[in-house]
Amino acid sequence: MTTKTNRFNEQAAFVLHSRPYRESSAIIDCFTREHGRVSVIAKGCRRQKSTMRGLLQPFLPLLLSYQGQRELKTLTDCEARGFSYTLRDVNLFSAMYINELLLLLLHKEEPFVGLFDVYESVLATLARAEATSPEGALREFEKVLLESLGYGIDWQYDYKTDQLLEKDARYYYQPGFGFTRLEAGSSLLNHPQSFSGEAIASIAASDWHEDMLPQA
Amino acid sequence: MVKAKADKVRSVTKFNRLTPRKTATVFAVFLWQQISYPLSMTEKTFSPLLDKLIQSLRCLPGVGQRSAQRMAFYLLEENQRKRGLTLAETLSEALHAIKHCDLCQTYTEESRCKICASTSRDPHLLCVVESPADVMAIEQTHSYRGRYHVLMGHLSPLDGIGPEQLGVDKLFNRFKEETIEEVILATNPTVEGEATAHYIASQCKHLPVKITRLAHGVPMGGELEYIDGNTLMHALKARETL
Repeated sequence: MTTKTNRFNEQAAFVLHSRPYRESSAIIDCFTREHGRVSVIAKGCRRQKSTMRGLLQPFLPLLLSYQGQRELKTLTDCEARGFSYTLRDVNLFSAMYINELLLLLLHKEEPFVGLFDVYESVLATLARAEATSPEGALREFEKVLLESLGYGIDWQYDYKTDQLLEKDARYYYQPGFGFTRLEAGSSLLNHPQSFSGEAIASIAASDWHEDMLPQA
Repeated sequence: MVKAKADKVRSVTKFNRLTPRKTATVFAVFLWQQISYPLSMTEKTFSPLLDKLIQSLRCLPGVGQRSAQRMAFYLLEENQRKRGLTLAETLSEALHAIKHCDLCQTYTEESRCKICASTSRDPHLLCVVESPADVMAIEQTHSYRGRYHVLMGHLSPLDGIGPEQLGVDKLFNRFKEETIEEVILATNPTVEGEATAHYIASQCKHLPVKITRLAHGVPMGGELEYIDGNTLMHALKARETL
């Protein structure tokens, strides 16, 4: 058996979730920039004197070094890359929701560089916008997440007729296919999945108006 | 004929040749036998009851096969039997009798725990903590004279623990029934603890209660050099004017 140790040094990462393991260790799910979602085991990080304990917290930009060839890596070093994003109230819950999305949707060790950068900027927005509603940032993140996962939505064309979407028409969104035009008097006009062409255009342009948000 | 034989010999030698990978496999199997042999032996040498005792002791945190075995043998020693029996009786009695306090949810065998039943405690102050161990930690400071509420955990949506699972409504009932003036949210300084504190605070906003949160800062007697950046940052943010 040849021993091949895979070392990963100083990877930009965020902790998504951690769960206690044995007496003093923890298994940590993190989202790294270069390698996507990775599970690492942080040995002794729950000991009283461990300096990692304060660092291995979600929403703190980290540089992680870990090694191992199996799915579960061993954390060797960890340091802060910047200041922790201080999140309060709704913004904290929103950030936890984003972490949950990432934890459930991302495949392990599949890199999503663009998504990582968007994640960081969303956290920054959430930390900055103290009182404002976090919805805009969340919808933007969900859009990018869908696109990165390969479930991007075609914002420009009707999937049945291949015609450009028009601003003053109403469209129905068929999951897995796309938008299709609704004729006047259609029973689906008031369906939660029907949108105006204008709303679709502004979603596509990432222009999150206050009045558009409930429609998205 | 001769050539065929030679080929056969070569193929046999090729098959038997020890590659580094094969040697390693053989070595690993050998090692495994060395490790697993005594283990399987112990399982068979112990009587069923002794084995059951050892396996039961393993339910304790940080106790593996080895430690459990040592504990069992220690308790079975002639001069330790009495203590062992006391342990067994206390264990059984405690596990049947100890329940949660009606008010603060901490462990007690009475309907109200000592702190809740005490008349010298300030009924206007309430400290919300995650576990009974946290109550002990705050009690040891001797500087808090109010009452407690023990949540027995924290909100953790990723592990499926929401407000209902945590039983936060019991806390909110106390706000209605008691005359609480200040709530000190002393949940752990982790993201989950923080989320729990924010959740409780947001649910209490409409009540005429003062809501405070435990400060984050540098530990006493520590050296700044060895403090992690995150803690130091919080300490800087919450600095005091002298």
